[in-house]
Amino acid sequence: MFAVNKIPISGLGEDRTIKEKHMISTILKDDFFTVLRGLAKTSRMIAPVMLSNGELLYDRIQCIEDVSLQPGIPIMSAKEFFFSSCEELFRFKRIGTDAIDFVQPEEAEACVFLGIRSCDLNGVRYLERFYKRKFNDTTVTKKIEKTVFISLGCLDPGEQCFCACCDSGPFLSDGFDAQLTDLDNRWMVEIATARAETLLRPYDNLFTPATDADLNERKNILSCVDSKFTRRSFMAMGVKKVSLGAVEEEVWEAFGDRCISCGSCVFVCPTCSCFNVLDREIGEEGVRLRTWDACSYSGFTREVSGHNPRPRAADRLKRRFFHKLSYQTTKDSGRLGCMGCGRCVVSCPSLADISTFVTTLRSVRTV
Amino acid sequence: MFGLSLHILDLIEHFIQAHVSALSVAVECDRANGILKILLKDNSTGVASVSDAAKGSPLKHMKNSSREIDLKRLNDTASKTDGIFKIGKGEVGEAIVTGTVKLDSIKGDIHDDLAVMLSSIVCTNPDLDLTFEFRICEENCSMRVSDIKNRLPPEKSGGLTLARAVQEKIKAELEVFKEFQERRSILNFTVCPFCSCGCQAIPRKSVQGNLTGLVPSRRHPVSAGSLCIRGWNSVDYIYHPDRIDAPMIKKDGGQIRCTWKEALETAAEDLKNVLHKWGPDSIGFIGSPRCSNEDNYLLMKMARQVVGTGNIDTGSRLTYSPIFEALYDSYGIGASTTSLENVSEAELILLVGADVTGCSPKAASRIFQALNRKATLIVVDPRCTKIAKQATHHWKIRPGSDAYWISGMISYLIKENKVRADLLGGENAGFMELKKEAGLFPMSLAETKTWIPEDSLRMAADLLASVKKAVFILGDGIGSFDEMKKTVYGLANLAFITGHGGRNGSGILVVGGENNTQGAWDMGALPDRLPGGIPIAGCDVETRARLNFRMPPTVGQDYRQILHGVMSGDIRALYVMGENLLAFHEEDKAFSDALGRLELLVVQEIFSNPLTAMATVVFPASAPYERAGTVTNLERRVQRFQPIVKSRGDTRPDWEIIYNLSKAMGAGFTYRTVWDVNAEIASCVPFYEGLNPRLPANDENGFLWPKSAKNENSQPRLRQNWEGTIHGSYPQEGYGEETDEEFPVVLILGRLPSFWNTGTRSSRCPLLHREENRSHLQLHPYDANRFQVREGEKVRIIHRSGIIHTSAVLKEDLPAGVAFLALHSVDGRFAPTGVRRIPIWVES
Repeated sequence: MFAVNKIPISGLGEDRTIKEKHMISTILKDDFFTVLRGLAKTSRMIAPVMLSNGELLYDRIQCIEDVSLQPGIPIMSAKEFFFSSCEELFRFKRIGTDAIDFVQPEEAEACVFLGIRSCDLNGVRYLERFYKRKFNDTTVTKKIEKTVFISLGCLDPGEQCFCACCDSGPFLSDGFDAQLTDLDNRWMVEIATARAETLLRPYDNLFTPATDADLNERKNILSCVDSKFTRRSFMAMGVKKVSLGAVEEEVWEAFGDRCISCGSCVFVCPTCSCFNVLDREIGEEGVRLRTWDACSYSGFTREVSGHNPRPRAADRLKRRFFHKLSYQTTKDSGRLGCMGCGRCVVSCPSLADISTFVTTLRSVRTV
Repeated sequence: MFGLSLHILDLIEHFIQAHVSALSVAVECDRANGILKILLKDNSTGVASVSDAAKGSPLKHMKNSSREIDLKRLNDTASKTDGIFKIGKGEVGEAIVTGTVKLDSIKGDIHDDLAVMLSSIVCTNPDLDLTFEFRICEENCSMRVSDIKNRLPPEKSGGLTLARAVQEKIKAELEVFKEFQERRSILNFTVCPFCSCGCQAIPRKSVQGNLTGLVPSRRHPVSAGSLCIRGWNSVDYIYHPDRIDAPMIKKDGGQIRCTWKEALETAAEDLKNVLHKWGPDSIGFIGSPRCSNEDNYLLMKMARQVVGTGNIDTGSRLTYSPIFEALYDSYGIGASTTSLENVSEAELILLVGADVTGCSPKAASRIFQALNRKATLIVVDPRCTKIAKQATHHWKIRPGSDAYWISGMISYLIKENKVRADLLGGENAGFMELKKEAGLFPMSLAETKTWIPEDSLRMAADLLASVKKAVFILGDGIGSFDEMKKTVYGLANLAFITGHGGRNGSGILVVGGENNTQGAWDMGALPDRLPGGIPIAGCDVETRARLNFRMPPTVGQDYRQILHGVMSGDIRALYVMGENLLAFHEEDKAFSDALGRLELLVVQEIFSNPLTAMATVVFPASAPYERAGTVTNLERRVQRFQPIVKSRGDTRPDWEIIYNLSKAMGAGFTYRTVWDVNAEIASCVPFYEGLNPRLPANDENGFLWPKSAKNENSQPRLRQNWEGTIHGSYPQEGYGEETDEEFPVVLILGRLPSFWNTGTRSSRCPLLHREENRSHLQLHPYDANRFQVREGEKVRIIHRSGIIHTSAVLKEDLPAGVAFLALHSVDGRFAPTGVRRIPIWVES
C-alpha cells in the first residue's frame, strides 16, 4: 500500500499525520454499511439522519439504520457538535459563605463524523483556526481534534448552494480524514490521514484499490458537478467592492431596512463563532454556560451606558457582511468568511442574505 | 390506532384455542422500514406433547376448523390495523403466523403494553410453554416462561405470582427498548410557543439530554427554514430557577409544598364549598391563549359541566376576541379567511394595525416574498415600523381613525359604482344600508379625520377594485376595544364589496396574537360562545347534542366582568390557568387586595409570580416543550406537538391537572391521554373533525381547518363566494378620549418583538432579556422639545387616570403628537378596559 509520511501539522498532534499521497479505494455500498455497523460499535458517531418529514439533520447516531447519505444539505451546519448552541463550561457549588467548588465537565470522547459536507468541514476547520488563534480554546478545539471526519462530496448541489464560488466545495482536496464519492453502487473512499487508515484497517478486506477506470469515472463526475450549480455568487467582486468601500449607501440601507434581526443567518452559518457567557443557578448550585450569540441583535454591541455603536439593523448588517467578505479575507484568515453552504439563503426571512447581497452588488453600478 | 397487544393478543388467542402447549412469540422492530414484524410459532414437539386426553384432537381442530376461523378473524384485525398476516406450515408441521404491522399505527407505550399482555396470558394459561423474543436493531431480549417458573418455589409457580414475575422480567428486559424510544424522541417536532405563526421546530439536545435550542423545520409551510429572535432563543426559560416544581397550598398564613393528592383534594373541597355556599356564578375561570386546545377545552368543560357556570374567558377578550366576533358575524367563521401562502402570492396587501416584523415575523416574511414579486403593499400605521419602510404606500394615520378611511373607501367605491355587485347575491339588505349612508362619508371627511390624502385613498380603492388577489392583514392595533368590532366589520365589508372576501388567494388574515389565541377561541373558552365559536344565544338542538355535556343555559361573565366581580366581591373563587393577572395590575393595590379577599384562588402556572404567591392552591404546570397537545395558528393551522424534554420536577400538563381536579370533584371524565381529549374535540367542533387521532392522515404539517374526517386534504380556503353578512361599519363621533391642551399627545399602545407581552417567558431567556427588558416611551423630537425631555431621561407619563414611570427614547419615525409604549408595560389601571389610545402629558 502507500507509505505514510509522518508530517505532523503544528499543534494538531501526531495522530493527524497526513499521507503524502491519498489512498484511494472503492467499496460496495452494502459492504460499507457493514463497516459503519462496526464503527458504530467501537466509537460514537455523528452523521446525517433523515427526519420523518424528509429533512436532513446531522445528529448523534444511536441506530445505524438512521444514517442517511442522501444528497441535500442538512438544516444545521456541523458547528453545533463542536461549538454548541449551549455548552456547559463548568459546574459550581457554593460551600459555606465564601468557598466555591468547581467541577470541570468530562472531556469529549473520540468520535467519527460521517457524511459531513465539504462546506461544513471547511467551516469546522475555519472555527478550529479561530479558536486556536492566540488563546487555544480547548472546549472547542479538543472536540475537533478528537473527531475523524469522513466527508461526503456533493454530486447534486441544491438550489441555494454556491460553495464553488467560495472555494469550499463541492469536493475537498484537503482538511478531511477520508472523503466519499458516490459511484452508483459503490463508494470511492479517499483516505488522507493515518488515523482514518487505522480506523478502517479492520475492514481492509472489503475495500478494493481504485482502478484507473474508477479514477476516470470520478474525474468525469467532478467535472459534471460544477455545471449543476444554479446559483452564482460573484464573491471576488463582493470582496473587492466591500473592501474598497465602493458599495453605495443605498444598497446597505435597502438591505438593512429589510433585516428583521432574527439571527437566523448567524445560527445556521458554519463559520459564525460569536458567543455569550452566562450562569444558570438554582439554589447553591449552578452551571456556567456558553451560548450562541448573534451580531445582528442590538444587545450584542450595546454598551452599559445604553449607547449602541451599531443601533440600527442596517449598521449591524453592514458590519456582518464586511466581516465575512472583507475583514476575513484581507486581514484575518486569508479566506472568505462564507463557505457558500447557502443555509442563510434558505433561512433569511427577509430575503436579504449574503448571496443576494453580492448578486445585487453586481447589478448596481458603482461610482 | 391500536395498542400493540391487540395485534398480538388476538393471534395468541387463536393458538390457545387450538390447545397448543408450547408457543414462541418473536417481535422485531424494523425501524428502517417503519414496521414491526411479528412471528408466532407453535412447535411440533409442543403440539405432540399435549396431554393424552386431548391428543389427536388439537391438531385436527387446528387444521380443520380453527384455522379457517383464524384467517377470517385475522383478516379482520389486519384490516383495522394496516397489518398483513399470513399463516403457514413449518418444516416439522408447526403452525407459523407471520405478520407485519406499521409502527405508526401502534399507539401507546409498546414496552408496557407487551409486559401487561404477556403476563396476563401467563396468568390465565400457566401451563403454556411460552418463549418470548424481542429484537430491535441489534439489541435482543428473550425469555422463556418455564425458566422463570423453575426459579420460583413450586407452590408459587402458577397464577398471579408467575404472572408478576414474568411482567417484572419483561419490564427489565425491555428497558433497552424504552431507552431506545427515549433516544428517538429527540427527533420529535414541536411548535414554537411564542407568537401565533406556529413555526415547527426541531429540538437540539446536549449529550447530557438538556434542551440546548430549537432549529427550524425547512419543509414546514410556516417555519420554512427560519425562526425569529424568540424562536432561536426560547428554550432557556424552562430551566429558570423561578419554575414551580411542586404543588403548593396555603396553610397557616403561608404557602407550603404538598403532594398532588393534597393539592387536588384541597382545591376540590374548597371549590365545592364555594359552590355550595354562593352558587356556580360566584366562581370565575380564566383560560389562556398560551395553553393548548386540550387545556382550554377541558377548562371550559370543567367550568360548564362540573361547576355549572359560564364565567369563563381568556385575556384575549380585550385584544382578539372582538376581531374574531366581528369576523364570525361577517363570514360565519371567527378566524382568518386566508392563509400565509396566499400572502406571498397577493398582488395587493393592505396591512392595518400590526408591527408584523416584530410580532408575526412569518407573515412579514411572506410580505417580503410578495414584494419581490412586485406586489403593492399599503401599510396603515402611525409608526414607521420596519414593514412600513418597505411599503409602496405608508399612511401615517391619526391613531384610532381607521373606521374613517375604510368608510371613505367604501363610499367612494359605491359612488363610482366599482362594487362587485355580482358577488353580493342580489338584494343584500346590509349592502343597501351601506349604500344609503354612503353620501355621509366623502373622501374629504376621511382625509380630515385620518390625515391620509384623498388621492391616496382613491388610488388604493381603485387598485383594490381592479386586482385579482388582495389580502388584508390586520392586528389588534386597529383601535380600542369598543371600536375594534366596527373597524373589522368595515374591513370585512370592504373585502366583501370588492370581491376579496373569500376568493381564492384573497381574504383577511389576523396576525399578532399568542400561540393559541385562535385555538382558545375555537375551544369555546368564552362566556357567550360554545366550542366552534357558536353563540350560546343561537345554539340549535343539533349543536347541543353534539357537545354532549351539561351546560348552563345562560351567558357567563367575560374577562372584564370577572375582574370587576373580584373587585366588587361578587366573584368568590377564581381559577386561573396560565395568566398572570398581576402583570397588568402590579401597581393597583386595590385589585391585589381584592384578590386577597377571595375565598379561593387556584392558579396553574409555570413560574412563581405575585399571583401564585397569593393563591390558595398552586398547581405546577409543565412548559410547552415538556408536553403534548395541539395548537391552532393564525391561519387556522391545527398542529400537534410532542414532548421534547422531560418534565421539570413534579409538574404536570395543564389538561391533566384540570382532568384530575374534575375527577376529584366527582366528574365522570375518562381520558387516558391528551389524545383522548383531542378525539373529543374532534367530535364536538365540526371543523376540527380532521383532528381525530384515530385517523391515519395526520401529517407533521397539521391542517388548516375546516377539515372533515372524510376529506384527506385541507382546504386552503373556505368557500368560493361568500354568503356573508354586511354589518354597519360607519363610525360614530365621540370614540375614545380626545387630546387637549392639558394632555396634548396621544400615547398608543403596542407590542415589542423580544419582550413578548408581559415577558413571563421572554424575560427569562437571557438573550431576549438583553435585547429588550422593558418598554421605553417613544417620543417624537418635536414633542420631546415641547415637554423638555431629553433622550434616555427618566420620565413620568401623566394621563387622566394615573401616572406611568419609564424613560424616554426619541424617535423620528413617529408622527408629531403621537407617542408609543408597549401594551403590557403599562400600569394596569386602564389596561383591562381595552383602551389603546391615551392622551398624555410627559414630565421629566
